[in-house]
Parts: sequence; structure tokens; C-alpha cells
Amino acid sequence: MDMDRIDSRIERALAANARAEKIFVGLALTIVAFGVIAMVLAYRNVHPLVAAATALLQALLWYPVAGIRQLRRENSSLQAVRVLVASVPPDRAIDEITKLLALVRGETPAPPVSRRQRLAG
Amino acid sequence: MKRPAEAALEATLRDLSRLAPTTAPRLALRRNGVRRSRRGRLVWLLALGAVLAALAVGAAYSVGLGGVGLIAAGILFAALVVLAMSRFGVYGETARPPSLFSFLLVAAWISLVFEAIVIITEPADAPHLVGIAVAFSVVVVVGLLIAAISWSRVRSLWHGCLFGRWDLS
Repeated sequence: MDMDRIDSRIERALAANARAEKIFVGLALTIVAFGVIAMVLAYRNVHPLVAAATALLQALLWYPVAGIRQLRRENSSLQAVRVLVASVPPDRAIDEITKLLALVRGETPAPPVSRRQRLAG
Repeated sequence: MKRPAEAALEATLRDLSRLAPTTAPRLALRRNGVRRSRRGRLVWLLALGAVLAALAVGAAYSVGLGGVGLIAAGILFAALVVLAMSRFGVYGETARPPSLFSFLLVAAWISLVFEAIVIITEPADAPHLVGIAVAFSVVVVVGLLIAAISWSRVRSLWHGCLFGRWDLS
């Protein structure tokens, strides 16, 4: 098996995730900045209800935070793949990578494939 | 539209399955369709509640029932709807909501925030009722149109913006 090919593929996926993470961080900072501006405006105009409404704006932070958490989960899965492929027999590695794939997709892991199913498949 | 990590893991699985052909790679590569259900249900409920709240607030203000307390009433109404729906299982067993509902959620909350700002900052007799009704309708209708016509295009653009060009072949 071509380990260089797998390594390079994982490197590219990690690089794409790093780019996405930077964008998510920028998005989160923008939301915080807008919240601060809205709060300052509400303070200057003495408008407590508008100030309270900034909480709604800050709720938008949920999206970048969830995105960053998902990217971190994916990164750890990708890094585990290298070790799995290098150190575990292929059939066992397939089972483990299947679990990682389910984690990345947000699925519950599929039940383990029995020996009978493998032979039948 | 696959994320880079998903595509990389699938490609690695394909490579490995050539070494261990008895492992039934199709089982591994196929999505098993069982997703975490809690988030999906929550978004469903939030979307429906927010849409109904936005409708209630907009309609009430348009017929002259304006006031600061209206926003609280709208939110309370949404919470009651969500509660009733979860009590009677109206939302069904769908684990993940369609994108349309996620977008509807955003559109409804934009409407609510807009209405809240107008109601709070303008006097009750201001000639804004038509504007509010029109803006409210525009937000929801445009949202629905975008969702129906080009939501997948918007998603793919955002996906391209996030991950850039990547080729994992």
C-alpha cells in the first residue's frame, strides 16, 4: 500500500480544515465585534432593551463554535488514520476507520461486521 | 457535498479494502443513515416555534396590538408551541431537519429581531405598519425562495469558501 499517497491525502484534508477553522474564527470574532458595537450604541442611547437584544446576536456564535468543534473532531480522526494504517492489520484498520467515518458524519457507529457477513460479502 | 475529512477517510478505506477484500467495504462506505437525533429535533422545534412566533408578532403588530410586551408574548407563544409539539410528538421521528427548516429558522429570527427593533424604537402611532408587514413578508418569502431555488448552490458556495479547492484523489 502506498503510504505516501495516504499521508499526502491526509495532509491536504488537514490543510483544508485549517483554512476552514481560520474562517470560523474570523466569523466568531466578527459576531463578537458586532455585539460589542451594538452594546456600545445601546449604552450611548440609554436603551436597555436594545442592549438585551445583543444577546440574540451573540447566540449566532453557536454556529462557528460548533463548526470549530466539528473540525477539531475531524482533525483528530485524520491523525489517528495514519497510526491505524501503519500499525494495525488492514481488516482491523477498516473497522476502526469505519467508526471514525461514522463519527465524522455524525452517525451512530454501524454495528461491527461479523465474520459470517465478511465471508458472505 | 463531502467534507475533506470524510472524503479522505473514504479514499483510505477504499485503499485498504483492496488489501482485505473480504471485509465488505460497501458496508463501511455506505452511510448508515442513523444520525444523532437530538440536534435535529431541536432545530425542527426551534424553526417551527420561531416561524410561528414571528408570524404572531408581525400579525398582532399589524392589526394594532403593538407594544414592548408583544415580543415576550411572541417568544412565550413559541415556547408553548414547542412544548405542546414535543408533548404530543407532532414533529415526528425525523432525526435531521431538511435545510429548508434551518434556513426558515434564520429567516424567522431575522424577522423577529427586525420587528422587535421597530416596535421598541418607534412610537405606537408611527406610520410603519405597512413597512413592517412588507419587510416581514419579504424576509420570509425571499428566504423560502432562496431555500427552494438555490439553497444547495448557497451551501456549495459556502463549502467552497470554507475548504477552498481540495482534491484527495
